[in-house]
Amino acid sequence: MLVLTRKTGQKIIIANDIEVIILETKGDTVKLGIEAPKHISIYREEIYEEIRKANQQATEQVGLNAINGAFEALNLIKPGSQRQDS
Amino acid sequence: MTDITINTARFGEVHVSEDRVLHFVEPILGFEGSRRFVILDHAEDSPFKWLQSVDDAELAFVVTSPRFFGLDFEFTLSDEIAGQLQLESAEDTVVLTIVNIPQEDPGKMTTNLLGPIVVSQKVRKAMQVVLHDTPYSTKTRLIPDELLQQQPTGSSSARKGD
Repeated sequence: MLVLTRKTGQKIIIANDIEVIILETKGDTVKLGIEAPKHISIYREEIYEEIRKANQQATEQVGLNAINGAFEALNLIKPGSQRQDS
Repeated sequence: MTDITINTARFGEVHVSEDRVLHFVEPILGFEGSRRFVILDHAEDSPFKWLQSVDDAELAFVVTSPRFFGLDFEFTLSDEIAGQLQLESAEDTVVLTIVNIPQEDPGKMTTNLLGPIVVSQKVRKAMQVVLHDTPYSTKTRLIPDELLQQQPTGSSSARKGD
């Protein structure tokens, strides 16, 4: 891993078109400003991971039983709307 | 418009018109190999749909519209994302969220409001948008417990076995 030391207001340039600037440091918190082309996605790592995991979980084992079960659960809690009174 | 044939693990071969294919301008996080998806109906009156990968037979998500469940869900898209999706108007925009259904208890399904899927209908482009600085979670219950408890649990046959 490349390790660089920067001061507040100093920048790092990545691949010519991405700029990272240290805006502020306060205790153990660092505020970064990132300037990048719009096709570059930037995420906080923990949020990226959380969504990736949620996606993975949602598709794992999801089959007709699950979706039908969910649909049935829905009919049970919506009295009158979709229930068929025989 | 010509039809294409999609191999799917859950529905066998599916034939859809080519213009129904959605192109993800950014991949669904964790699934970088699949950029093309189609939306397939679940059942009549069902609020759920399938988001089926064209590139990977195994890969499908259950999606829904949070509005159907009365969830108050609003966010602002950045100009960059609107540009990437070539969105022209609100009417042109469809928002779907991925549903996670626990096998053992489907009623406790949740949906991911932190990473909604935004579709630009006209140009058939889509993207899983990661929302910043919002109160939304990846595990929002679609049916709250209070409503689930109202389920008639076996009607009058509550006592069993004695």
